[in-house]
Amino acid sequence: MDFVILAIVMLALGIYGLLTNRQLLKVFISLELIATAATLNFVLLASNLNLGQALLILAFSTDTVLSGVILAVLVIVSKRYGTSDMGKIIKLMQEKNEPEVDTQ
Amino acid sequence: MIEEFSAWLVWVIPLLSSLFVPLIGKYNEKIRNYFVVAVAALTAGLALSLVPAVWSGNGEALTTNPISWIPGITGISAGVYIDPLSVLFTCLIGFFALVIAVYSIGYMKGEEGLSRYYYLILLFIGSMIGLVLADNMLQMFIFWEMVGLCSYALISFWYKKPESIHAGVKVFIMTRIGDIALLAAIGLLFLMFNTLSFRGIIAGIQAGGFNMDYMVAVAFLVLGGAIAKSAQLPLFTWLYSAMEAPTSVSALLHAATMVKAGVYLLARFILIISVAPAIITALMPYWFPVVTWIGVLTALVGASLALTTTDIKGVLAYSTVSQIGFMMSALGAAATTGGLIGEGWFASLYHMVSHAFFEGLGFLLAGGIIHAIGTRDMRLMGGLRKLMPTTFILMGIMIITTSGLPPFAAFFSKGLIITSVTGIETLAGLAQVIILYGTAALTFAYCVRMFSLAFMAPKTEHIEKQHVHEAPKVMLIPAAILAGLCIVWGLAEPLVASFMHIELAEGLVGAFLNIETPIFLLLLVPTGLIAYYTYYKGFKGVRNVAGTKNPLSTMLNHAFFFDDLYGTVTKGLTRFSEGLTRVENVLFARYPDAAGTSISEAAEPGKATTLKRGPSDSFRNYVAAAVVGFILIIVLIIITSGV
Repeated sequence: MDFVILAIVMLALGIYGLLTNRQLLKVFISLELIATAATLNFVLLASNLNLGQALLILAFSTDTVLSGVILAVLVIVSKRYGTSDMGKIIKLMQEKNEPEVDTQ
Repeated sequence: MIEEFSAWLVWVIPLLSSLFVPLIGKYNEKIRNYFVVAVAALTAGLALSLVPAVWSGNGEALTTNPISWIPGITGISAGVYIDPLSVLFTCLIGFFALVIAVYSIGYMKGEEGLSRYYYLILLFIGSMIGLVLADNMLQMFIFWEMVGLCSYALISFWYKKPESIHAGVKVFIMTRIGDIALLAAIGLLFLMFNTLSFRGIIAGIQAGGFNMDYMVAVAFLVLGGAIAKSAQLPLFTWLYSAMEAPTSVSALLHAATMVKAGVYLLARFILIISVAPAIITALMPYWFPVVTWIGVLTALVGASLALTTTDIKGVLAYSTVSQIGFMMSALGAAATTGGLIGEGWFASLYHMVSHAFFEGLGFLLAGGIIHAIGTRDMRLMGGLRKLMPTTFILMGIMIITTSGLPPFAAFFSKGLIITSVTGIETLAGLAQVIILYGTAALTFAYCVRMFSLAFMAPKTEHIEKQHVHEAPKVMLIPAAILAGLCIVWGLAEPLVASFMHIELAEGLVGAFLNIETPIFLLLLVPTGLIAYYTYYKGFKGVRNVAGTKNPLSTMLNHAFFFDDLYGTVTKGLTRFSEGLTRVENVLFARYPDAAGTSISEAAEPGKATTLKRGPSDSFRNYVAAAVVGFILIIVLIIITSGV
């Protein structure tokens, strides 16, 4: 039960982070917190099943791959717009004066 | 069994061959296009090969051997579920895959990023067929999400246009609401039956091992999933935004994939619960009427919005919203007419196919028009009758079918829907039938309006300025095939009924001699005449009323304020988060960069000095906080481990 509370607290922290931060990296960290909270719940609820533990490795590896992709996208976006503030990026997108993608 | 192999291959082949599309595209673009057409043709052939076994069967699902998917957990397997419902959908999707693959050769000629386009199209088709053939909820849910993902990627295909990115994201987020509801429903089902396969759930229901309260919750959650996916009230606005997609994608999305997934889900769910009369009786007082009401109101809202939009694809989009409303209302009447699953269930699926034909036809022709004159605004069209004669004739067939005039497809299917809703026989049912008749009349009006504006009205300056040409053959032939099916499909009603193993109360002739037919046709006269005189003859009456500021036109121009409502909600959420940020800034004022400078800004050469000078204090604070936190954790570990 303690771990469920921990997972809920992590979820709440993640949502709080999503609400208060506009930096892409911080948003990403908040998202990761939420994902970890969900994974933690899986671990807990599958603790009497060996299979649950085994599937967890799958969940972790998928999560890691996802993080890699998201980080790569974040780097491209912040390079392209010269900022990692979501509000500013949206404003720049709406102004339609987008620079061409740097294909390096 | 041979059917089981084809049922697997029919979705595995498009999914696997989608991976080869970019590779072949690198080598030769022409071969890539033909490869996609070949795969689509193979898919259509495999889908058709499923028909005989199902037709000769008894209407139940064929026996198949599901593969154990995750060894160790019973109840989670992968398999195919071959019954009339899934095969009907599979054939429709396979056929449209072929039509769209051929059409795309003409329509998407010379576009950038076509390998991506074809890859996504094949993935889209494969996942939709996988969705309808899946034999368990989990497999279905995976494909359900893949369909959503593909439609997002295809709608924002022209990713350099901000509008299309916006539309794609809107579609993704709005349909996601329904996905959450469906996921919750799946969780509840697993909780009750310890299995996710349709067969297992049916067996569980027959054995009586269900909790009625849970079952009601599941029913409403499934309905929520269907509402979001099929663009019903109140989540229908995404379908209009999705018009930013290439027209071939719109045709696929409206005719076979994506929006039809919700109809499939509800039809499947009703089929599953129909084995237990107790559940049907429990759901009768509120769930089925809710489904019908949502369908009826959506039909009305969609038709009235189609009457006001100036975007030719917008008319077709709202028309789809309205027609799917018709299907939903029939699904809500499925349990009330006669036996457990009766005519309403069949009427909805039958109309689903005829809608696919006429809506697909409409989009293919609209694509040709947009291709030729480079705009979607109907006010800039006019006089296309002489300039695009073949398109004119085919669009005429589409108009007649959509408005439900005899003897084309929608006359029979729409008539069957109205008959089945009439069978509800309550006061609410009477109101629903009246609204449906009104909607049918409005349908005729928006068809006449679109036809007049685009083809009959005098040429506008925009048209005069450019050399308008008829669409190429590769785009017209698929459209002509669909037009042929629009004509024939209505007469195929007894065949389809025998394929679905449903007994119809009246045959083809009965539909003509029905008392409802003259009422229906009489109702079309006034609305048709008003639309004809307003948009063809150019009488100003209606236009003047529409131009003035009155509540009705304001409502219609704002699409009944649904998008404004969602805008208000998101704005409120943004305000809330800004308030939270401000509170945070006050509380943590000691750390000047807590919510301030971004990391990349700080890393820019010009700002490096600020990083050195300013936040060094805060850096020290961070280190101190980390050390304190570390010590606290160690203390906690020591205390809890009881050393």
